[in-house]
Amino acid sequence: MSPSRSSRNSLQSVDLRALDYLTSPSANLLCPICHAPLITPVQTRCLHTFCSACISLSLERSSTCPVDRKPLNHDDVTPAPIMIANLVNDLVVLCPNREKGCTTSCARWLVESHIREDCEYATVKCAKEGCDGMVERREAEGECVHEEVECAFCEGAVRKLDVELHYKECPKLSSDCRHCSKSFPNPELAAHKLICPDEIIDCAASHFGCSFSSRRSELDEHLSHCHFVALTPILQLHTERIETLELENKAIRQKLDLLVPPRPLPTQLSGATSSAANDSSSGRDMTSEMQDYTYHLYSEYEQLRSDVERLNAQIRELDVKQDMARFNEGLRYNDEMTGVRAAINGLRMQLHWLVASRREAGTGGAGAGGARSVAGSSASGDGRRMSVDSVRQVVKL
Amino acid sequence: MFAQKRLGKELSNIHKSLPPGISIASASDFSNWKMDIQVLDTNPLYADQIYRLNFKFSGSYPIEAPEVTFIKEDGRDIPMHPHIYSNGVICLDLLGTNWSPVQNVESVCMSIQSMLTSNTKNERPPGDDTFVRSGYRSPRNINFVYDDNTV
Repeated sequence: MSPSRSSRNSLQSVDLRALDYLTSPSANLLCPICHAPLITPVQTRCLHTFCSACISLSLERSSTCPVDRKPLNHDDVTPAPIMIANLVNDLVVLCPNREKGCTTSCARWLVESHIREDCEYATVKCAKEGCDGMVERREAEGECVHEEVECAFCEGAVRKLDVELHYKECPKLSSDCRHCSKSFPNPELAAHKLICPDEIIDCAASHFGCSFSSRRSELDEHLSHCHFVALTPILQLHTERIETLELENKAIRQKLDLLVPPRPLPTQLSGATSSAANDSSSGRDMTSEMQDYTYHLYSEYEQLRSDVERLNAQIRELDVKQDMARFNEGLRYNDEMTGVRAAINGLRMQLHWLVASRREAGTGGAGAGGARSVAGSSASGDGRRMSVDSVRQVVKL
Repeated sequence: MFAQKRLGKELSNIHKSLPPGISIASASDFSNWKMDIQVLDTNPLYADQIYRLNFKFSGSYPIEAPEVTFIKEDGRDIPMHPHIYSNGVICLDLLGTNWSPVQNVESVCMSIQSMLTSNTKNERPPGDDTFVRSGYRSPRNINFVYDDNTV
């Protein structure tokens, strides 16, 4: 290895998670989350072992141990015993550049230095003075592929490396459209693809659930009677509204979170304020400002509560007053009713008397008439006395 | 990447061996798998029936739970169960709030298999009609209330 080569380190990074292992490792060395050999193993308080990255991700979603569901947070996670780390670091892995042709396999902890310094297929800076291009290490010594050459068709300048790529765009070359099999110059192909009548495309309302797709030229007919397309404006409107509502909801929730924290006792608050006053750190202003703000809110809340209490008391008082008034009025009406009832009774008595006297007078009149025809003119005074007697009898009865 | 790597490992394990009554129907990519499950004991509700489960994986599987539903396909029906809606949505805490990244496709299948095995009620969840009509297809958008611990 020449000194110039060893000085050219590869900047290619190695993703340990993506490595392939020479032999399948013991199941005891696998992370329960990613099912791959542990990377930077850590141990939880409940003695389960995970990759450091895996358990962090899991804890972001749920504060429990994934294996036994015991409560767990980031502080309960500590590095696993070094022996475990050594066991997984010693596992033999295949070089990540295997697909390019590297056949090296080495212990996992060595793979980074292999890529950085040795691997023939790792990308390194081009050897040519003043060139910023990247090549594989095995080609670094050869001629620079970043030099510009002339395109055989359009006579433009192209980097050697990009010649293949350039042919796809070269205006002097044409290729066939995949759908309608007409030929177009390469640069126009992309534009044609957007209007090609033979391309199979989805209905315009496919994101609202329409599963129809057909050639572009035939889609118009479907669009004219597609229910989803007809509903699109409304669905769009609803989607937008839901989005705005969600945003609003989020803002409101944040506000609520700010307001809801439990109310500190006044003593705590004054204590905190005084300790904040003693504290000369830079966070002082912030905390005291926050406390002022919360204090202000609490006093406002207190005031509102006392207002509500006062209003409640007033309402109760009014209720009592009204009840009393109604009761008094009821009494008055009762009295009046008794008076009216008595009067009616008196009237009934009179009526009764009148009716009875009338009846008496009728029968007495007939008898007296008979007597009168016998006794002649002496009847009138007696008749009166008799009717009084009969009234008395009726009353007695 | 993370999800694909892990699903790849699960797939190779699944191809090696699976518990009785569980088989793989299709797994052509790393976002959608179909599994067939059947109840092996003599439960009259599910005897001689095979049901098909649809697994939908997001990019953050296994940190995030997969969406698991029963589907009607190839003559497979939706099993009768007080926690399975007639559109195939399954109300199971393991697939929602109690998901743990340690679980995998195989363990989820086994949980659902045993959920069917232990069931004796030939009924749908309360409010099945309204639920199905409301058109929820994706269990992720539903806040289930896990009220029943008996099944």
